[in-house]
Amino acid sequence: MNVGIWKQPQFITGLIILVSLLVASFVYPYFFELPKETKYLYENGNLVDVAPFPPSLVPPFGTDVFGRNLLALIINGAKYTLLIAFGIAMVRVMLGAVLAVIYHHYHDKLRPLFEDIIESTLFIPPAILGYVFLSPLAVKYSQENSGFAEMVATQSLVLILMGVPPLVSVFSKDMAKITDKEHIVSTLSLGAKNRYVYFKHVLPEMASRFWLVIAQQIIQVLILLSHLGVLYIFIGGAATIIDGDLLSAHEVYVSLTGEWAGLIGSNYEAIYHTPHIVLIPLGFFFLAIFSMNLVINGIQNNLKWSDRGRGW
Amino acid sequence: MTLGGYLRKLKSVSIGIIIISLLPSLISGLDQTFNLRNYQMNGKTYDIFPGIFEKYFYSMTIVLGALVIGLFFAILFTFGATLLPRFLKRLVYGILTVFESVPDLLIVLSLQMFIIYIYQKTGWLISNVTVVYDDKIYLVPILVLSVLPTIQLFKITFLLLEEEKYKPYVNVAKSMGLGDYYILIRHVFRNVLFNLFLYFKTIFVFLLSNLFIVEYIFNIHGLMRIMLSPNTFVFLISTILIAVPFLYVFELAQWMIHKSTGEREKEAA
Amino acid sequence: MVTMLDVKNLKVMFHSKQAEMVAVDEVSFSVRAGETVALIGESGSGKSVTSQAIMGLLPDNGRIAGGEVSFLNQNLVKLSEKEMRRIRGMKISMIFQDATVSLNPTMKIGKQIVEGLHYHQLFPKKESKGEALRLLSIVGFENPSDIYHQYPGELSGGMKQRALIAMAISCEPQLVIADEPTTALDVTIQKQILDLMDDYKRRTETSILLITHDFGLVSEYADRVLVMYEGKIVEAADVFTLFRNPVHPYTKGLMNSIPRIEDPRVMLQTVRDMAVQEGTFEGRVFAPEVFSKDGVTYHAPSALIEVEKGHFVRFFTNKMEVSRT
Repeated sequence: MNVGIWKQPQFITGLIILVSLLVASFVYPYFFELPKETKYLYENGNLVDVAPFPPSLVPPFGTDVFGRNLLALIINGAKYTLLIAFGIAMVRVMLGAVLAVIYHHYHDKLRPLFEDIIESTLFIPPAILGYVFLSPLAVKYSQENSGFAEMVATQSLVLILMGVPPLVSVFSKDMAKITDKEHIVSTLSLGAKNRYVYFKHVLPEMASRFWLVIAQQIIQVLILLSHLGVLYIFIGGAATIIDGDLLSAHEVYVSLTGEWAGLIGSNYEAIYHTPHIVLIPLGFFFLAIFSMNLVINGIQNNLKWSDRGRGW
Repeated sequence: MTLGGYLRKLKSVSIGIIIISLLPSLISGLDQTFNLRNYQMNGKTYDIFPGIFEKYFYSMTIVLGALVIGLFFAILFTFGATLLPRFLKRLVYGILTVFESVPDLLIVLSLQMFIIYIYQKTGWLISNVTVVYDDKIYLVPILVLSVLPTIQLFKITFLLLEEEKYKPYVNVAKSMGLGDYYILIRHVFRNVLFNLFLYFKTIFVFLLSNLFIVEYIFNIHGLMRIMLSPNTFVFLISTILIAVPFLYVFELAQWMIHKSTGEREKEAA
Repeated sequence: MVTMLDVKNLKVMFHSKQAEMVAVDEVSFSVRAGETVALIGESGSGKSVTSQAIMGLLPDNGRIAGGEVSFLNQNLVKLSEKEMRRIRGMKISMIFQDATVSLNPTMKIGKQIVEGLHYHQLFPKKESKGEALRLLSIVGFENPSDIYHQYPGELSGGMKQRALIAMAISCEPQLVIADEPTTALDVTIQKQILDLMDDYKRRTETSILLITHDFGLVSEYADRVLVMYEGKIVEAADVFTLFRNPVHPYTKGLMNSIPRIEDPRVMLQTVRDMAVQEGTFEGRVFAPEVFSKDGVTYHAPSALIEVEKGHFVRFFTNKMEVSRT
């Protein structure tokens, strides 16, 4: 990372969108109350409508199935969604980098088992992999009634570990390329210790690559979260509540954190009647991913630029 | 490429798959269902064999259909884009970045809503929007699934082509008096398609994830859906079934790249 | 002898966003049948641009601003792109500097070298394999049928360069432009490649325009030499005259920068100049020390002046007008 990145318009635009979403999300509760459930809408004492309400009644996006203002929910959920994605991506890359150093160093012994596991994950869609690991957890926690924080931590850990092996493989290949470069070879031949070389040469050289991969991982985690949402796997777990009147009671899963994927999941049943409740949160996923792509383009342009600078 | 090498690789990948399918029970300490005979879905019980092969071919047909359509349109669009002036090319690239950011879930759901909308307005149903039980639909899932690969492939071929056009061998071909379109098709396009092979893994992983969403949203009883069933054996056998042909393609791609370019191994980002 | 190529007052200009600049100016020379003419100069002196202009393959931002290039009394500058394609490859072909990137990596060698023959329909398609094998053996491959099926990535640098030569001579052109054909190769391979080209030239009476910066190669393979500097030819003579009596300080500088085995104690000389400005050129602007034939100080380049028979030098005159001899 160098100063040049702040001169990339795409990078700045993307970052501004993401930061404003986050700031709005954190500031929002201080100025407005969190939306309350309003199942029925009365006018002059007469029942006019039952939730979910269309955008014409509750601007700008209408309400969810519980009659809560959708925009407020989305703003409120932004911080959880973005920070969870960022956190998972960050730890994935950090863990991936540390393990890559170890792997790159001892790869002869570790390789066979490791490569096979990585190669085999290619044939399983990430959403299914996540589902297979997380759905027994959800059952377990709902039975044991464990704490909320513990639930979030375990789920995040699973999502982190799922993404680490491919990163280790990619990073160790990058490291092999860097350690083959002449200046590293000459450093080693002058008697530098391996650890010194990693901290002074290899990792700094990969720094901008790490940022790029973190940005790419954030997008992947966001997509994975949205997939898990429609599979009713929510970060923080789901409460099952009985919705509807006595005659047509049905179960509804409700996300406990209020992040966007949970919003999609808990309203997914209503898609045929009121598609906007699902499509609008997805639209915000699109906004976040698009901003991340702008950030990535900015980083890549900057890398190209600085590579050229080094070349001459 | 040797068959022995492929079989060896297949064996170790299978071991990896087995490890992965056993991991959940190690973590959560729950007894996993491991039933060799049948599985449950949507409250009904199905036999695993031989029904799973039918589901497998059905899902593979959708994937390959979507891949072929995606490839066709991506190449068509790229060819069209090469004829555009430079500022329009930048516009195309910008639009591609926007489209690339659309989550697959949003595209699939929107298309489903669109089909329902048409039905409500005109009474014309392209085909059943969701599947009730075991009826098979082909056209809609293939078309829906092909949208995202088209965008992704278009972006990759577009970038590869811009890079390829300025390589020295193009100049050499010109110095031999070959025509511009001849060079574009016989040399540049050919190499772009070849380079696409380098990205095959990335494209495949992406496509598989999309297939799952399409099957889930359209309620298609395909291979991806039954992988969700709590029976670990179904998960295991489905994954191996997917790995068998595609691992071969991966190995073939690797071998071809290695053979024709010496050692040009590039990890597709 | 027939004059194969005759370049007269060639002027090539390049434009960037800001300005237009002259890359090649007042370049005149001719190549006769069966002759090797060397165009020598440092990088950025305009020698490659000259060859691109002859082929009609200037980059998009370059254009021929004046002069003519006649090939067998046909002015190539005036030809349409379609007519030019009948010249390229068939009448004039080119060997490029970096063979490692000059071949299409995904196409088999055999197919690639006879592609020109196919395109120009000079050869029935059925017999093309035999022709490819013949070409490969001409350029010194002992196992042409193996090479035929190999991809460029499987060959070494020298082998690729030979394959490239096979491609360049496939349509039996009358003129081969070799743009630094051996610069990327190591010394032993260099000799092998140039001997090959020289041998081919002698057998077929082909003309070669050899573009290089290496006076060692020039002394061995060229019949006549053109020294190019800053887009202009500064000295032209046959190879014996030039080596016996170099006049222009730039030529002398280039020659003195070759080590001499007979006289090992003489220090190698660098080309001395007063670097004037960081120009728009790739290379440096060279301002020779005060230099003239008759002791007069000149500040602007003159026309080529014949100092002895067949030996032309561009002096610096104090007047801008061109004085002809």
